[in-house]
Amino acid sequence: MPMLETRETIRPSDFAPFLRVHSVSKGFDERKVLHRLDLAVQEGEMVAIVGKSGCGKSTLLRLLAGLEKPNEGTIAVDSNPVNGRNRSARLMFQDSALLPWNTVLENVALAAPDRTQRRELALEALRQVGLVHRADDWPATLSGGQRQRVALARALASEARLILFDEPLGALDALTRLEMQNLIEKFWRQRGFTAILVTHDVEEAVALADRVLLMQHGEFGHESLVPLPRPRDRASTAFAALKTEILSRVLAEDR
Amino acid sequence: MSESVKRGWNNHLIPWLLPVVLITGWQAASLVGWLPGNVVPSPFSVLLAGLHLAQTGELAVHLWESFRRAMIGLLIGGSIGFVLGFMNGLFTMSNRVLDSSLQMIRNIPHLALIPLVIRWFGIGEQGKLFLIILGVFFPIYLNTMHGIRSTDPRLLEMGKVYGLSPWALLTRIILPGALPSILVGLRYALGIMWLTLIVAETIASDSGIGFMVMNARDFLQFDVVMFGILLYALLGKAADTATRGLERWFLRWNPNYRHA
Repeated sequence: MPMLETRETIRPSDFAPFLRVHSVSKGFDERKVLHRLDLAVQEGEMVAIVGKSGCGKSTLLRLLAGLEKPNEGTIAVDSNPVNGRNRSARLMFQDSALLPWNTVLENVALAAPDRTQRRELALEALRQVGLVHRADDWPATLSGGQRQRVALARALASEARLILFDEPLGALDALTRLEMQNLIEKFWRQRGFTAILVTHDVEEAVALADRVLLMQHGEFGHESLVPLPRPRDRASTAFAALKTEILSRVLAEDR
Repeated sequence: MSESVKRGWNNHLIPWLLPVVLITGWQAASLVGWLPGNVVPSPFSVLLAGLHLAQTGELAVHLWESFRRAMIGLLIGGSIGFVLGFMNGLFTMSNRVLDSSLQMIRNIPHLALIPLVIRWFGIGEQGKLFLIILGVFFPIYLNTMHGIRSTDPRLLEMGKVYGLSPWALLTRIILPGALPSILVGLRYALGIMWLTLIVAETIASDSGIGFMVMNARDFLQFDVVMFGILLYALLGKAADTATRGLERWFLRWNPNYRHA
């Protein structure tokens, strides 16, 4: 996949982006959560949004998924404004949100767009996350990491063009998280979907994303491009330097 | 015998230990004359009375009558309770219109209506059904509503994001999520159903186990009375076992129910 490396040179202003957020504001009652946000994402790009908890990251994802409406501004996919649910988007939650009364396979098949091939698509997605042998088990019998893998398989089986990750790995232990990060990167490179990853883990953002946006108090702050070749070497000095720089910006935001 | 088989036997036998000891003691007390047969008939005479009723065909008739009444009442009352609980759980508007009125009716013990019910329906079939319907309605209504209202909002959001239709949201997320609560309601309803049936059949009836018992009392056949009471216990136990079976099947995804 040599094409992927060139994406970082494309600037949002070059042509109409896949996803465009224009001057979006959102508040609940008196509380302002998002303030006149602008964001343009190219097709196939992986954008990470980092920030402290409560900065509005998750609210932005809910707006992008169409679960909430912005008070002001527009969100458009392929220049078509999103009205109600965003049909091209799938959201992956922090808790896997699997239906406990459906088997692993049924949970994954729920998302498959083509009714006639649901089972095959779901089995294929499960095979890819390495859980096909658990297809007939109940979610309650899986570990937290396995459940997130099923949730990932569900997002894959839906063949979505845009996958929104809402801190999907926040509740996992360090080892499982690393595994999942590799898995997400692998599928993203294979399938070329657009990804927006909300996280508070700066290392995760630098490891996965083409760009990292810093969000503070409902506004985008600094934007960092990550020009490192994939798969990224977390031990390299360039990686460490970028991570330290972004982390210091996250921590400095209150000053 | 292997360890697990032995444990299985123990688990099945231990609950029966106490009843067997009690009945043996009761029979012994009757045999030595501590319990006079015209006040507390011995287990053996109760058994004989039961066998006699079974032979004459009386038992089957009354058992069927009681069972039929109970099931029709449960079906009608349960359905109304389910539908209203479902509506009031889903829609704020119908909840606002209906719920507080229903809660007021709920606070009337339904058996207190017996004098009115006899005036309205006479001692025929409708009155008994009315009481059973009223009795089973509330536990099913309340638990259905509660189950539907406690649907996990995260799962609903997931369903919306993944493009499920409103119908699919209902059948794949809301109803299965409410099912544990609905089944609890069903178990409560069964308890109330038998209680109501006994009272209704005892007060005014010309068939059913309650009638059989009251009839026997008039003829001082206390062995038949005792047999009737035991029948109620068995029917109640059978209904409870049936609901447990339903729970085990429908909630088999839930680790709390798998080995219940």
